[in-house]
Amino acid sequence: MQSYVVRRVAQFLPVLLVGAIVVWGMTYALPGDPATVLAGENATADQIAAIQNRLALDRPVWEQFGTWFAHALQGDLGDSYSSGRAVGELLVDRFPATLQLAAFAMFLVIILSIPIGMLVALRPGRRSTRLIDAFLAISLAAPSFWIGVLLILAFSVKNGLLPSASVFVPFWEDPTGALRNTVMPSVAIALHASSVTARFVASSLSEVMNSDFVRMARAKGASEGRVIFRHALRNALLPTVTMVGLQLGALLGGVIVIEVVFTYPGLGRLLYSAIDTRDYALLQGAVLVVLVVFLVVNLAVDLAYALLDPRIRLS
Amino acid sequence: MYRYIRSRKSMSAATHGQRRNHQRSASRVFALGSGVLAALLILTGCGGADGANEEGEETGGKLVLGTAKALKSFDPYQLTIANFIVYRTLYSYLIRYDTKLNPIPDMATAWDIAEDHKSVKIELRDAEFTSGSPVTPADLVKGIERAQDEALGLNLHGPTEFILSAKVVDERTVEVLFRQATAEDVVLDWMSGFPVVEGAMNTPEALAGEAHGSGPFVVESYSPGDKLVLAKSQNYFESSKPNLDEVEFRFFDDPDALVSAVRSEGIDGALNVGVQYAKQVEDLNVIPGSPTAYVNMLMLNPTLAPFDDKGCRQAIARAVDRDRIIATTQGGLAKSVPGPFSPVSSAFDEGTLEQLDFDLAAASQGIAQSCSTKSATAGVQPTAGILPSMEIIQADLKNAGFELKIEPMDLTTWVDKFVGGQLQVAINGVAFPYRSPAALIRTGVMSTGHAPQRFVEAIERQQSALTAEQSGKATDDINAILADEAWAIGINTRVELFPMSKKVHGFELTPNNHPVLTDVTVN
Repeated sequence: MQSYVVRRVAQFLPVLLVGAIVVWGMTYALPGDPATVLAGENATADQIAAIQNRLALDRPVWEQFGTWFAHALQGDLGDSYSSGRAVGELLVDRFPATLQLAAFAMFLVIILSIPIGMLVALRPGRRSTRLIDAFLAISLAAPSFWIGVLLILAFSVKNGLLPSASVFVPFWEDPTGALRNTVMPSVAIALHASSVTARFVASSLSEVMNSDFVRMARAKGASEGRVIFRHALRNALLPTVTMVGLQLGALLGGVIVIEVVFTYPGLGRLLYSAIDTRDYALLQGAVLVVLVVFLVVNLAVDLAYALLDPRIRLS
Repeated sequence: MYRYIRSRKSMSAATHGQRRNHQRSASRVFALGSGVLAALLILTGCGGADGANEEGEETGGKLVLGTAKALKSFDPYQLTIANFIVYRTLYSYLIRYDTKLNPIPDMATAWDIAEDHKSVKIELRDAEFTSGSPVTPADLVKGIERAQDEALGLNLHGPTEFILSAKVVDERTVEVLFRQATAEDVVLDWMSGFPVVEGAMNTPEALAGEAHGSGPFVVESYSPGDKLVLAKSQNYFESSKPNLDEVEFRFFDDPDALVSAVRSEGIDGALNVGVQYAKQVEDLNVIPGSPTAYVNMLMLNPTLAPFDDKGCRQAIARAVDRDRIIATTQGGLAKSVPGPFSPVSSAFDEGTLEQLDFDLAAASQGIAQSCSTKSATAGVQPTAGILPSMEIIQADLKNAGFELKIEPMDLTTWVDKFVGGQLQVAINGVAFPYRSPAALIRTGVMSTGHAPQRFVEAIERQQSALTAEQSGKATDDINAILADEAWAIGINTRVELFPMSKKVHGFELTPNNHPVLTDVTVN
């Protein structure tokens, strides 16, 4: 397993390089640059050119990218053109908020999707199961930002129960405040994500419940609960581990739309702001971090899979 | 070790008893999960609402304001809508204007324009920067020198072009020399827009991430794109002010989220809310923005066909139905304008408005005669009200035989294309809280709007108009050229709203909608 991990980590670098080049190219293709943003709406072309010269934005694109990437490999992601702050510092500021939102959302996904998936798998044909199926279909189809807006209307605007604009309150400092500020964005994310995962669980569990080893377990006199939880569910959840891992990786990269709707100060909004202001350094740094997080989570999922299923050999 | 054999047998093969056991187990798990979720929602609903008063602070404690324009930098030389929250909170200017554009001393306690109108002596207040360093004439001289540098002066370069040099006279006085005799209103306009910045830190790099001014507040913390927290400055020259201990600006990416937050009392007030939200915020204390803050203008690029023909531009100008645009996009609250001057400005000319009155027949005739091509593309920025305004103009132009395509784009792209002269048609907001029409030199009507040379010359005459008669004549010339050349066609004043919680008192705005929080209390 050690050699497998080393090989996978070694693969990070070419992936990061290609990802950085693609993002850099796409960003440069957009009209405008940090100088345009800094100069403002009433700037002249000469003023913009002067700022471009001052920020070295008039150098060849490949030279700018090369300089940036060389520094990035040494851990220096440069300074944000907009705020002058170190990109690393900005990312470190935002990452805990994203981590907390992802953790809350994934917690909800797990506690929703597993029971729902089990119900669908173990109670086929019942009216309640059909209703749940319909609910899952609606949750899957409804955009999460729309769900977010509805939650804001219901819980914030109508009765002021929860804040419509979330702030980051660390859970370890103020659990109640953290919950109040994170529950609505978490629910908006989790409703959609859990419907995907629930279907996964349902499909997987249905298949496993028909397996010979389940019949064998029953034949040996195991209680139905033991059959489900000790034998069937553990096997059925293996593919779900991959699905949850991918979702977690995506959430750790920031959920831009939900963060904008709820004004949540996470990585997603930082990325959105970087695109809007053409802050190349911040955008590149943020994308690099998201890529690394995604690759690490993927690796962790693969390792977890191997640990959970002794039949899997990492090679 | 188990061997898994995939089976296609259905659940009906299971015994009835086993099925019921499955169902009980699944139901218990489902009930448990639902209970946890419900408990979460109930638990988190307990307790008071978030916001400024959660700590139970008394009046004058903390004010939380939301804005949909995230701060770009702390540099007051960068005049962009996004930075307006810092201008009057972190910096002091030489003078400021009241709502009638009368000058009020700020960091300049007195000023004396020479009889030949070629210089002004400015006496500075005995004050300190927020760092504790004293405000000295050298700081002002350094600031003027920076503004005179095209690369470093940013948006203050243009308005400072009439200045030749500045020098320290004594420990409190600066003498500013002009290139030529300059009208008093031009000097006052310059002073109203010139911040006093700590000289040693007065560079774009230093001010990108930190403020170095002498305003009523200092930066306590700043999370780019999230929030800016200001604390009361202990070095402000008015020792009893400001009333507030703390101000928090929260940045919203979405105007709907901003309005939801102020309606749900998550924040104490919202800045620059579009008039389309008037109904939603009507229960709050809604402070209207200044009528001099912004004017929407239809810009026709005279360097690109078909607008290189003045006749075509004049024809298009007659297709602007201001009444319908105001009724549709400004809730009927705005005023029609023929040019960049709002109705409260002394340069506003009712006659020019009549000359450019909506007349589709005249537009149609002019388009047929003068427009080499009967189509163009308009680049539209996402500022509230601009897209619907352009759509109304598009519909009227279609009836007049002109095809106008609309291309929405994000603000950065729009600025890039507008400044680069690539847009044939655009609607631009022009801020004009000034006494002298010569202040147009600092707006997009001039260079980025590709103003005709005769207009530039008229502005220069306005700058050096020393008597009321000269000034009146120069203003008449400016208005006449605006109407005749028709490259920058006034549409309407832009109405912006500032809904505040009823516990907020003393909130004021400058003539260009910059919040002044010195006298604000919250109770």
